[in-house]
Amino acid sequence: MSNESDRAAIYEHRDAYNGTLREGDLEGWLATLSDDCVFLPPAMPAVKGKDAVRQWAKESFFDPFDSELEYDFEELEFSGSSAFGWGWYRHTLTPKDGSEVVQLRGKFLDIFRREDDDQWILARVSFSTDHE
Amino acid sequence: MTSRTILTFAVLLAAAACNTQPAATFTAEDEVAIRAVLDQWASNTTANRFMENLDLYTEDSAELLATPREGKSAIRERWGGFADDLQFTDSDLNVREIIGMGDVAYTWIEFSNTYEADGEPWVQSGTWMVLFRRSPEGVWRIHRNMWNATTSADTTAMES
Repeated sequence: MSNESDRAAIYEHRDAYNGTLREGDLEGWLATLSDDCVFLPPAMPAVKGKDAVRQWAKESFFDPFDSELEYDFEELEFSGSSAFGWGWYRHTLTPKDGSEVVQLRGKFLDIFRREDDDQWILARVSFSTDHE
Repeated sequence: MTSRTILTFAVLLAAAACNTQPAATFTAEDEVAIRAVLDQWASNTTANRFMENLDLYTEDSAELLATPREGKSAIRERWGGFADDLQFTDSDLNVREIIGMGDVAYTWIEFSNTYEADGEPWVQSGTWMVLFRRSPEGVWRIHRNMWNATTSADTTAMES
């Protein structure tokens, strides 16, 4: 694959990641991640492996909130079948119980991996929240 | 122009058109070298030579904080805001993995830094994702990094 098509594929991945989150499709969202994925969220220990990520995401985002996530890359670099990127995100969390909407924004640092079927998946994610 | 020359030229053109970097080899020695950088970071920090850690960063390194610091001079400026006020007494870096991606490698770490600020002892723990880049001379340096604290220590000055 060329750099251009790899880049396009990463942006398609972003659309799938955001779309499944917005639709509340937990399993669809998990399909955008590697089985050994690791999340490094703010103010908590690392979340390691898809099963742990499933439980964390279900309890933290999918069950209590409707989510709207926007993010974009400031940098995206490819090396063989891997890539890294960092950028900013805005995450709007609307509680399903009708309480006040939560707006988060911050930065992320992602590691992507290209699978044998040429699909890009997210393997490592660190993200932080901005203090304003 | 011979057919051989034309073929060589065509191959070179094709190579130039493909921007995807082929993955360079990543060996056990590379992993040892990266661990040595992190050991040096912890050693400098514990010895309160925090600013010397700048030598371990690429010139265009970026710290991905609320306001990202891009470039060594921006990082130096941020560190100058707290390095003299904190007395580090320990830095424990638990490296959980190191994965090579050619001339780039990533690692994530569980860290615990112990320091004194305003005469009060603090322990700051958290996670640290670090992306390394290998220079043309073969030296690994910290290229991109982001950390999150998991403890409640007052780290406002270090985060912003």
